[in-house]
Amino acid sequence: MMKRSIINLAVAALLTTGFSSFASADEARLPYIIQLADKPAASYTGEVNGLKATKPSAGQQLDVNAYDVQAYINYLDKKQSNVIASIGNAQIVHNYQVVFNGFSAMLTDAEVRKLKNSADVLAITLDEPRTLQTNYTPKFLGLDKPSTGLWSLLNGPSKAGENVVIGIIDSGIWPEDPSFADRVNANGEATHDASGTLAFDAPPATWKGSCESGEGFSTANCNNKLIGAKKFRSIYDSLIAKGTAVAHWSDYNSARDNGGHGSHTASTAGGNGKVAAQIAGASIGLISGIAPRARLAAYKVCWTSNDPVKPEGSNSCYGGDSIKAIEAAVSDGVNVLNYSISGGEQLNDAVDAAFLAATNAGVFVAASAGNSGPANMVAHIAPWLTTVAASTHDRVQESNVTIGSKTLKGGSVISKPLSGNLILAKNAGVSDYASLSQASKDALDRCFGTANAVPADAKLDPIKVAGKIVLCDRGASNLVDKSATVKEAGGIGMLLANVPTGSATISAIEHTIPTVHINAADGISAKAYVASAGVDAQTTFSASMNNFTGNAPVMADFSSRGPNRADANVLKPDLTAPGVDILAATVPAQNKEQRDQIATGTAGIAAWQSMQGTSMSSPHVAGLAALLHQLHPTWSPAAIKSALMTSAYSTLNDGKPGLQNGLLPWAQGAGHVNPNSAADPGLVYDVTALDYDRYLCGQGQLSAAKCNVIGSIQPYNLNLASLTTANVLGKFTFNRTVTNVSDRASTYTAKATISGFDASVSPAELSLNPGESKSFTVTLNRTSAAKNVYQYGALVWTDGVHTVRSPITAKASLLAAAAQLNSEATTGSKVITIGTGSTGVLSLVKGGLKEATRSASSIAQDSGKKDGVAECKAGTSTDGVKVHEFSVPAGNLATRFALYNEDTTHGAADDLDLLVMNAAGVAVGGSGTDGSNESVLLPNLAAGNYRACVVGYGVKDGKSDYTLSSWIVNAGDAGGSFKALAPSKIYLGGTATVGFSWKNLPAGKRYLAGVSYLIDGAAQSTTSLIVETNDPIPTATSTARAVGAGI
Amino acid sequence: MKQSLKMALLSAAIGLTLPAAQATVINFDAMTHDIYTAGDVLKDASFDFTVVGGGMAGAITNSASCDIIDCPKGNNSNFYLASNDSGFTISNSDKLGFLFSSFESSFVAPLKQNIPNSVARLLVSGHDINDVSFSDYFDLPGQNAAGNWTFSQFNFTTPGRIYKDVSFLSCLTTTSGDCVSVGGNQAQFAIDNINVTAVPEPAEWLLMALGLATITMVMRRKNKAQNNSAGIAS
Repeated sequence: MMKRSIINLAVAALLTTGFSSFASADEARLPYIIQLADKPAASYTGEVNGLKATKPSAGQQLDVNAYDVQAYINYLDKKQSNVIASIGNAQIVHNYQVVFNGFSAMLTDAEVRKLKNSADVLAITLDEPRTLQTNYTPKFLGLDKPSTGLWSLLNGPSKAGENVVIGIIDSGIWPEDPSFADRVNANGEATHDASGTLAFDAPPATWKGSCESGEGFSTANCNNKLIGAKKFRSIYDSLIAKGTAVAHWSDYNSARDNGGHGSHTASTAGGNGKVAAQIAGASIGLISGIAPRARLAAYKVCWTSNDPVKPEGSNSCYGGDSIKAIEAAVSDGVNVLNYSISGGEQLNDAVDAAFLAATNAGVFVAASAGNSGPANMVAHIAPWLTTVAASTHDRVQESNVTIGSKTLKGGSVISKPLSGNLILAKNAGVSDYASLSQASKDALDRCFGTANAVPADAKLDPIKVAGKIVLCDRGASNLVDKSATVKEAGGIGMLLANVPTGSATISAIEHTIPTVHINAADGISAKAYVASAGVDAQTTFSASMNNFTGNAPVMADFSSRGPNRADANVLKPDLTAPGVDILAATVPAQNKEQRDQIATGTAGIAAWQSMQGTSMSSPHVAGLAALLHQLHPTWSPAAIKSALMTSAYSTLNDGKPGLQNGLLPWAQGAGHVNPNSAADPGLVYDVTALDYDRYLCGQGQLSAAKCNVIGSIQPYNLNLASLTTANVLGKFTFNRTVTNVSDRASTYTAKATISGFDASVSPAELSLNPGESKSFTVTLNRTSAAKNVYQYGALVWTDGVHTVRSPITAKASLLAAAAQLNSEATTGSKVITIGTGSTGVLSLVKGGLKEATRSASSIAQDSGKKDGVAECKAGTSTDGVKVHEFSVPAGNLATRFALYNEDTTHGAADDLDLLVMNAAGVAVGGSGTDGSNESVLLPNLAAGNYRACVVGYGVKDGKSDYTLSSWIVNAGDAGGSFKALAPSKIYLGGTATVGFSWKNLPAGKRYLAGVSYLIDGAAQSTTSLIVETNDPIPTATSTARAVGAGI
Repeated sequence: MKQSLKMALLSAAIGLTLPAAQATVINFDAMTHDIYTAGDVLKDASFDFTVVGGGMAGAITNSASCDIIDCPKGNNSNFYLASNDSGFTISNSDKLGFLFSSFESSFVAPLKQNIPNSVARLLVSGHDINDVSFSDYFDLPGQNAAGNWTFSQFNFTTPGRIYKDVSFLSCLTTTSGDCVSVGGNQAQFAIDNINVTAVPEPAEWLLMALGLATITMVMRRKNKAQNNSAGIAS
């Protein structure tokens, strides 16, 4: 009776409070991607009784309509329905069967917990929104070289890419651009004009895709070049329905591009040859995609939403929508996919899992390495992807800049000359420069504007700036924001100067006012000139022209660097390609009225733009893969990737310090693509679908049931064309297999060299018939390599004709141990293997398990820069940034700070970030995911005072209460009967088993322990153990907010 | 399996007379996860496990709690893991001794890698209630066809022999099957489902098997350590 009356009361309460109660119940729902245990159809190899294999064989494409494929999809459907039935009321958004087995859904915490305990569920991922990360480059890549160029091998640019389909998963496509036309005019230039000659016949017979009409896009916008266009936005629509996202006026609810990113990447990879391009009305000559005869299919997954800071809105691309797009693309019959979108910083990334199935179905996938360089932030770390870094090419667009009697050169894309008074930003501020604080001086020198939260006393003064050209320093803000600030103050042009301690690259990109970008030395000259000429200082910019610098390729500063943070034994990025000053198609600038006309059927006009980013380098590789697929239709995606890697050459020194240096594999991977050599690589390192699964089993990423059947391999033994090990404990061996892909028998000899180690290859000679594969080992013996310092070298196989080069990276260690272990058990154990590289005496120092210390506070939306840096450095809380002080004593083992959605007033609807600084104001950790699940784990903090700063990046209804959890675990802290044991005797090049156990922790809490490993009394490494007895729900990977490319 | 002929005959004779009531399968499932070092004593049923070896010598754990280390698959419940060249000794101090008929064991590799052939041997040794020592060995198989370590059952073909203590250790083996002297922390094994039968003190079962009293008394004299039960005087 009692229960019944409560239920009745609850229903009554819902009825009386009306809709708002439902809304708040719904608010707790977040988008998740649920991966189930069975293989998707593209990877399925026939393990289920009565259902035949559906994975296509080499050189074949997946036919989703085939009987066996449909039968298997039905089987997956039924199993999915059973899982979905267990969460009866959940809102299912997408079902996936082709490249991913599972579904995406808007789920409550309770539903997630239910799924977590289901044996059928392999992984649950919170769907965080991702962001979007010529043409001269075919010539720079040598594609057009007579007879030896890759285009020549394919019978010229008029055949290069013939009948290969490139799918672009991006922000859509601007169909009116001639890069996407299927006709040519009398001069052979691409055109949409109906009077042109049809240059493409019907799509290849294997093509099953289609063209979807929608806002501002009709089926007539597709043709025999742009053969497919689809939109994917169900996850995005769910968030709009919830009120989490508001669509920006500028976007189109169709495959039509908004922002230009998708058109740029599509035209770079497979845009037509001979496209007469213009910028700002000036002709910039004919441009071409890398595979000009390829067919293109656009899959739009990125949508523009209102943004509190950016009036033009910001793009979000949801993983659940991307997976659906990958399903569609593989089912439609694409051969190559490009994904210039962020994500994939962890091995369990759901989108990258879908790309694995696409790879298994023979589809090559190029993905961008990320624009957060030169920091160690490389994205898309999965080994089946070809992850592309960005570097320069040697054609620059430059203007001459006259200052007094001197003429300088600087990067520009300006169509006509400009002359005017030149004024330094420091002399153009609203306040006297000398009276400003250092922060305000910096802001004024760098022409900060509203987008950079410029201090009131550091603004440009419109009276001083009107009609003038302003010299601004590079640094700390987007380059286009600087010129926008100058324009807003009435300036007519900007002279942008590098500074001696800052980034050295020169950009040539479109700004809202004519801008020339000069190097640091010229910047000093220009400033000296203005100092002497005073108010009479004049400058003239010439229209930009093409020059050749000869000093390319150089790694771009913004290109995210390795090592691979999720798996240090797999090299990422894989290679580099042009990604600086790439000229390609975009969308025209449009106001709301123009946008509405296009939305209702008016044709758009074509536009071109120079862009930079790994978003631009990735489609170069997608285009090259299309060419190599055309040349070698039976090559697997791994073989194509291997050919591109082993034929690559080194970039030039970019002068960056330490691990960020462009010459290192962390920046350039195997090197810069060299497509003409990739066409005939001699040997390839091929990888099968089973190899990838064994790799995932070795990394604990697949179900035990699955791994029980297939076994596992270590990541350094995955057959990649790079050899990478983070731990050489005295001696180390790699296993590899090469396949002769040439048409003749050859005998290859090997040479492996790496500093600090004695490297040997066994056997050192291999005789291989065409198509034959043979295995070998590469063994490293430590000689002089210092502990914990990376060493670099290469393995080269040669038969006198081919040179097959792989980078080797290796680090010697005395001890290698897992940094973090997790458990949810109240009483439990963890047994792990550590690697040992010493014969010393091993001992442990332990602390914990310690329960979280919880500090409650409240926060408002930050009105500053939203990164918390200045506030945290100053150590004073503001409404939007709360500073929590901590003292860490000597002997710290592990320190962790965390925020949780469940400890924040509006849950995931609040977006709080976390930043940790030491007393000197240096950031030692940060976490900036969407929502409020943030975690920073810091082993072995030096004694001292620290600040954990909570940043109100986005706070619903202006104010939220939150609780910061912190753990400072020191030697000797005890709790939960925590025990840690290790053998005292260890071996060189050996392993040891280490055990941890704990007992009777209360349920519903979060604990941390730290264990430091000492060899002969000297600390080597630390393992942190996080025990959460509160049945935690999966959270997004903690990551720093993506840093812009500085453009 | 090698056994001394003499002991086998004696054991067989005793075996005929034993009551079968106390057969036990030691599976560690009622025990909580823990880690152990030399000298630690675990208790399951009436049996004592005395841990042998230094440092991290063993654990009650399961597959899900193994990270990096490649524990056997296909058994999701608890097992005992003897790590870092260590082992343990089983004894039963409450009873006269125990019969020992079978157990399941698997090699435990430090890392996930393909090892299709046997690389380790389980060394079993101990004493019977007459203080006669014995030793035997069992080759732990390599991974199964799917590339996984799994538990294999081993039978102990000494029906009726009463043990006082049985010790388990492992060694790595050469390609010709010989033990190597240094395990390098990698001679490790998991053990589970140890099939033992506690043998009551003579007073409890002699009454049921008077016909073999003579043999039993001989044994009792030889095994002074076991003469701690008041019942024997009667």
